[in-house]
This record gives sequence, C-alpha cells and structure tokens, in this order.
Amino acid sequence: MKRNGRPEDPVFEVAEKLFRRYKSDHIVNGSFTGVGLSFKSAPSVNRERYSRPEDVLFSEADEFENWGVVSFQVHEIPSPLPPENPRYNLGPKHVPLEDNYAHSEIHCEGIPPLGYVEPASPIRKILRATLGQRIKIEIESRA
Amino acid sequence: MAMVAAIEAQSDYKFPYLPESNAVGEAGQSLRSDSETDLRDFLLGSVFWQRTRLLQRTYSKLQDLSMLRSNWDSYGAPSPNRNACDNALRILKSMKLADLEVLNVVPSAEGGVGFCFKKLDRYADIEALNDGTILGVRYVGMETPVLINVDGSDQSISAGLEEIRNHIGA
Repeated sequence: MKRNGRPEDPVFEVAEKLFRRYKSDHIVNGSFTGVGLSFKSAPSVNRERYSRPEDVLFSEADEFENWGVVSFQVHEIPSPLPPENPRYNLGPKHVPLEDNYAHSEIHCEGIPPLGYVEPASPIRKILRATLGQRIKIEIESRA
Repeated sequence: MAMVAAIEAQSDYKFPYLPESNAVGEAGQSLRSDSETDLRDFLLGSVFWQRTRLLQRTYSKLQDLSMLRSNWDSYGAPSPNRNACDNALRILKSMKLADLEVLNVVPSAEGGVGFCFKKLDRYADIEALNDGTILGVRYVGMETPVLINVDGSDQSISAGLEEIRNHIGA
C-alpha cells in the first residue's frame, strides 16, 4: 500500500473499480443508498489497479472491523451533469498518499475546468442517487 | 442537549392503563387475562397505535443520530445539527403509517438526516440537511433519478411524502 516514491498514474480503465468503506446503516433493503455519499468535497476511493477491496478497511487500530466495502466502476460515474445542459464533468483522479498509493478521488470540474467545484445541491442529489443505484457490495458490513 | 430534549419530548407517549378489577383468585386471573388479550388485539388492529409505536422507534433512532460524532463515516461526514433534526421532526410528523412501515432512518454523509424508502426496485429518499434545506429523490431500478422538490414549507413536505407514497406504492 505504501507509495515508495511511485509517481501519480492518471490513466484509469473504464472498467476499473473504485472501492469505498461503509457501514450497514446505508444498506436499504439490500441496496446501498446514495444518502451515504457526499460530494461537498471530492470523495475518497481506492483504485482497483493498485489495491484490493479489503485494503480500504486496513487500520493499525482495527477501526474498521466489521465495516463493509462497496465499489463502482469508472464508467458508472455519471458525467457530464446534468446530461441535457452539461455544467460539470466528473471523473476519477489518482491522488496517492504516502501510506496509501491507491488513494484516488472523484473530481468534479465545472465547464470550463477551473479545479474542483462543489456541484449545485440538486445536481449533487441526483449524482449521489445515481451512484447509489450503481454501487455494488464487495464485502458485506456487519457494523 | 436541547435537541435531544426536543426529540425525547416527542417520544413521551403514555401507555393506556389496563382495566382495574377487585376480582381475586381464578376469576380475577381470568378477567385480567381476557382484558390483556382484548387490549392487545385492539392495539394490534389500531392504525393509531401502530403509527405511535413506529414513531417511537423512529424518534429513538433520530435521537441516536443527533448524538453522532462528526467523521462518523471515517470520510469526514458532519454530524446532523439542530437544523437537520428540527426539519427531520417536521417530516416525521407528516408521515403516515404506510410511510413508517417501509422507513429507514440513516445519517446523511452531506450532514443531516435521511429518510429512505424502498419496496422491490422502487426507491425514494428525503433528506433534512444541516444547511436547513430538504431534498428528495426517487427512482425505479436503474432508471434516471427524479428530484422531489421540497421548499421547506409544511405543504411541500406533505406533497413530497405523498409523491414518495405514490412512487413506492405504500
């Protein structure tokens, strides 16, 4: 998981999975709810190319015992938004950390691009719901 | 703590008293047993009682959420604040028994309280957020989600819940 001086890798395959930990609160009748996601800032994920699902549960203090892991693929990130009158482009960005090389973020840029922007509240709501629809459970939470 | 007290006040429901009787021995036992059975049957068939029972459970869950610490999701999510809990109580008061029967109350990663409803592949939620706004969404399966417009007024909350009820088929 350590970076060990490796450079940022900006290339994501469309089928590459992105992992995120969760607790069972956000499973509603067997499906993950988008209420458990936030786009007020770029959400953190781990990319499949450099990690396994269980890596997002790693903690030396066992903080995430019994938590679960969900995933979605790069092509499942809805972009641009809104589709009928695009104002935002979304996509993954590799943001390696020293102790977690796979760390990435889902970036939202305005059109034209000027760095991360927080999508307007109704668009965030649709975005979170859409990702919630597409998310798959990799490891079931017992917490 | 004022927020917790407000939520506790909502759940301060008095249970009805069992009928009193001076009867003793086997007759008294039988009378009390029959009364308890009648009362239980009455309560199980009472929409009012079922709604009250489910509301109690939901208030209790809301109380738990109001005491969450920030970063509860380990990704920096804020805990629900007073605005969110006050609006969550307003939404709850507008719910009918059918809403409560399929309700899941969850913390919102954007900061706030989420009320989620799901039956088969029909999903809807309404969120009371920390900035005081209320937002809802509904969808079927993998179809494009549709926003539920709620401007914060009591009328729009009732209309939003009605839209969810129609969508879920509750």
